Amino acid sequence: MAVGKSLPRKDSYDKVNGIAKYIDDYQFSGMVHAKIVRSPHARAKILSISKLSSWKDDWVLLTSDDIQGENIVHVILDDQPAIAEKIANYAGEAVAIVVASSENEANEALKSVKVDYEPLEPLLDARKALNHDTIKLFGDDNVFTNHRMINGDVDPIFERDDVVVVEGIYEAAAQEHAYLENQGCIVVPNEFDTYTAYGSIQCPYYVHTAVAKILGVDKSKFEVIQTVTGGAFGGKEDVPSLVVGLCAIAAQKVQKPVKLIYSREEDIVGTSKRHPGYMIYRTAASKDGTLLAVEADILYDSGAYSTLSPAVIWRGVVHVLGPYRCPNVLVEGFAVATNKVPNGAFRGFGSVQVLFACESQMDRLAAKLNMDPAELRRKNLLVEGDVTAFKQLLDDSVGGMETLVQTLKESDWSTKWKPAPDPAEVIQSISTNPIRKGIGIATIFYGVGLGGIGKALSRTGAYVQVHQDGSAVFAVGTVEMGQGMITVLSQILADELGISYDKIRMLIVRTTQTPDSGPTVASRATTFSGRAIIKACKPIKKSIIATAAKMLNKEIEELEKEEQFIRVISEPTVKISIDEVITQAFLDRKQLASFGWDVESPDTNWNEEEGHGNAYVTYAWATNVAEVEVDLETGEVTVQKIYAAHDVGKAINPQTVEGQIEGGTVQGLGYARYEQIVWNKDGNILSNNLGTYILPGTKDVPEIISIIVESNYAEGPYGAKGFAEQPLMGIAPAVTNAVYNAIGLSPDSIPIIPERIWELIKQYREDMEMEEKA
Amino acid sequence: MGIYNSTIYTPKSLEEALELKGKYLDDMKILAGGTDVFVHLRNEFAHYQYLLCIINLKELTKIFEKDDSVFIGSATKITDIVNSNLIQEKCNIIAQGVNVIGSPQIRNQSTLCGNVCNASPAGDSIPPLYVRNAVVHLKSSSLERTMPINELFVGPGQTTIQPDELVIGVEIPKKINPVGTYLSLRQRNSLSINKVSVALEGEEVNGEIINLRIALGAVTPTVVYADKAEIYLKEHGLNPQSIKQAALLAKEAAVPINDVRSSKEYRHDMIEVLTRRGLTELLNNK
Repeated sequence: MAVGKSLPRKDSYDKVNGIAKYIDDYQFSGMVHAKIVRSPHARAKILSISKLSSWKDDWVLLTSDDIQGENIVHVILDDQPAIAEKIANYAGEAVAIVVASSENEANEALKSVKVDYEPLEPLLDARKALNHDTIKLFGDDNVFTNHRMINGDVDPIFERDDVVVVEGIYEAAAQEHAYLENQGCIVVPNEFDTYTAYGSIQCPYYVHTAVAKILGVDKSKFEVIQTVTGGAFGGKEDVPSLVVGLCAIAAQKVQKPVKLIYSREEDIVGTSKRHPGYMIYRTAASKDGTLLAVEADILYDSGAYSTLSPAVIWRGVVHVLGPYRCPNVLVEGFAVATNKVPNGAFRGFGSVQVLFACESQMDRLAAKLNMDPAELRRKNLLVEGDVTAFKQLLDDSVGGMETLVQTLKESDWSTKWKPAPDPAEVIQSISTNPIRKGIGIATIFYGVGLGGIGKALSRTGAYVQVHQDGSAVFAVGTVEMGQGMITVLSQILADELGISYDKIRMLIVRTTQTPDSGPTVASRATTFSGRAIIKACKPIKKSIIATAAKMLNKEIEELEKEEQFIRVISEPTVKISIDEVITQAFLDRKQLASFGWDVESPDTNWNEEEGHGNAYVTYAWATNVAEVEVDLETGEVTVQKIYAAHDVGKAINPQTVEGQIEGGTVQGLGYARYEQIVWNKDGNILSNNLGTYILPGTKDVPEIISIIVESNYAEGPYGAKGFAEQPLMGIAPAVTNAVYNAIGLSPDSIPIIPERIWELIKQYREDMEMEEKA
Repeated sequence: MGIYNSTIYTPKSLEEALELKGKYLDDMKILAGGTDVFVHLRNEFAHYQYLLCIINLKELTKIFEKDDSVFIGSATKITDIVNSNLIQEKCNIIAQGVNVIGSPQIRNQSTLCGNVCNASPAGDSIPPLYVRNAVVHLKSSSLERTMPINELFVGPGQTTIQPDELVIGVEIPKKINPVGTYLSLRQRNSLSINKVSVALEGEEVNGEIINLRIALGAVTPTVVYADKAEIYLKEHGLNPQSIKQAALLAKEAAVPINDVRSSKEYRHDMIEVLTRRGLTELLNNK
């Protein structure tokens, strides 16, 4: 069996050896280069665009007037133009395109464009933008979308005097995807007024739909080919529709292949981030620690255009409580417009911010109850048969408790955990004891797939063709972007047909020839493309077994499949190789090519009015424990060890699962401890390269202990369910809770850069001194 | 981009290099490892019409011992400096400072003198050179001169090196029994520019640490000595009480700024913390 084995990745050899062709490796005859003229202002009227005297005749300058289709980048609400027309709404927004014969020339051309702006006052803080009196960026209130979650009645609970209540205001910073390969594409005009786009793309069908509109051509006249993609993390979900759109405008105008590759600076300034989040929580529990009510207001800074914010804020609202039972809930979430680069999808998709807040609340609650925070979680964690805060019955693959139990055991929690010290004592003993150790925990869950509001996009198709020699190819519309999908789907296909993993190849994703399978997001590719592949294999399996029966002169029922063989059940030594059977089936003209189609369960739904529903088909679960050391004088937090247990249903490829856990953990560590976009007061991003936007390096990575939990998901391929986003999601609260445990002060914002912890301690010390004086 | 428009000269001898520098003056930038120069060009912080590549000049890649000093040629790679027994034994503080620059790849390529000539107040080689009273050797076709390291800098990125001059190396005076430490705070453990740094070095004589020098990085427009702290320690000796006071005096010498890496207030406080920790380390290791 291939499933369950750590087989080598299909794409690793080419990537390690430099054979894989990324978009910038492609050249086309007559190809020219585009660069984008970007607004330096966060909000400004565009008065005029002109060429300076240094402009060369063979350069081309394009503005929104040159768009032949619609000037809309379609995502959800259709409020974003490809090229700003009258007003630029963020620093970095495209206002014009230049085209020249080489990248150098195009960079020179950029300097020869003069844009006159009239700067306007920008809105840079989402909290101020909400319902702003005079500046209206979207509608009357600057809210793109709001969602609610309602259950029971919270007010009477908070009024009771036998409950314990904790409140918190939390803030989570923007995070940059920092994929290795920047955004880029090439658009090639072909004969018959058709166009082909090649690019580093996560959701080729989004690009297909959006860019056909910009070009003003039927979707049948445009196609998208995904090239090897060097990381995406959500950053190549909606953004390539803009990048390819800009390139297509140029290609359509000059009728030559056009290449557009973003520099790292452009990529940071001009493409989406994780939404900065502001969260206000009030949590009530009985004195034995049973959660009774949660009230939360969440506000996400969406930037200048809505892009995916309506979906991001919904996922945020659904995940507000984390993985706990709670009968009374009142949650409202707003996605708010500001004059910043539009924020979009990022691994975790709106759940990461609220899980930081929710898990911080749990630790504050535990402290107030004098409880072990792990015990508080154990007491409230959803288990099979429970109903979620949004009224969904959990009846399958509920592995949260198993992740909690295993992490506690592996980390030796019961020995290591001690109640947090009194911060006053910590501060008084700084000079003798400046380094404090702490341990923290976070338990989370994550809805797999697009769920109640996104399921219209969630279909998958798979085409499978078995060749005469026993090798096979398959095509799906979900993409490989580093997560290991080709490998995992090949393993599934190998076991379905009984053929060798080595003989399977995945075809490139080409939107005119591979089935529209929706976006490769929401940890859905393994689960849903896996299901489509299994369906596609059915008629082929019939052909194979029928041919084998004929060759062995037996009935089909008398045979069974073994790896690369078919054998007679009653006579195990009588068997025939699968290759021979396939060759015969081919000669017998049996069906060896087939198509499978799958749609995400129709049972998911969301009642917008009432604020609840069956949000997702299933959930992945995880527990993280972090061990840290805090330097009280410098504020430096060193993360020494992270335990990460993940319920994945079934690990199709355990090593790939561990790879996801380790990679996600490091990305989560960046979010928790290092990464922040620094804006100046005018709304320009200062941390616009990887020297100033600080990702953790190898020397910052702690020991990571990966624990795989398999609670079979009956609907998933071989019991698997998606989990790839989740490794990032619990790291920030596990780390900040460990800091809380070390010093007795609970951070309320991330990342916890040293300056922030230093400030937290300084503030507490000053408050102490004030009190003493009083 | 500017980088593609620069003409690179690769002279075969120091003499030829000096002649070229004398000819092109400010239009010519010295290229040693390129870990700063190429970044400047790529980011268009500067445009250099000519680059003078000194990497093949054997006479500039030597590390050698003199009676009272150690000399490091200006084209010597940082990795070679870190790995040099002579440096580790006689100038350990220098090895400590340069060993936190960038990453292994950057240290394999870059040079100590390049770090000096880049004249960043956050250059990790500079505070250690200050506490050693290092002397920079400059040469032009017509003149050879030396300059104490602390007189080389005018401001961030600005030096007193003349347009026709080439830094040919730094001379590091030996100390009797040097004990020193270089402490810095950074945004991550590698590939990062320091937010604040302190180099401290004294000589251990008869069980006492004397002649302590303290230099501060990234908290003033150029690296500076914490002179008041040094004088205080000279008067009071090194002990737990004097350490506290000296650290506060060091803090007074700092006038940090807010930037993308850290805040003014944090940097200011950290000078005190690092100075105190560094001095305590020296006292405890005595």
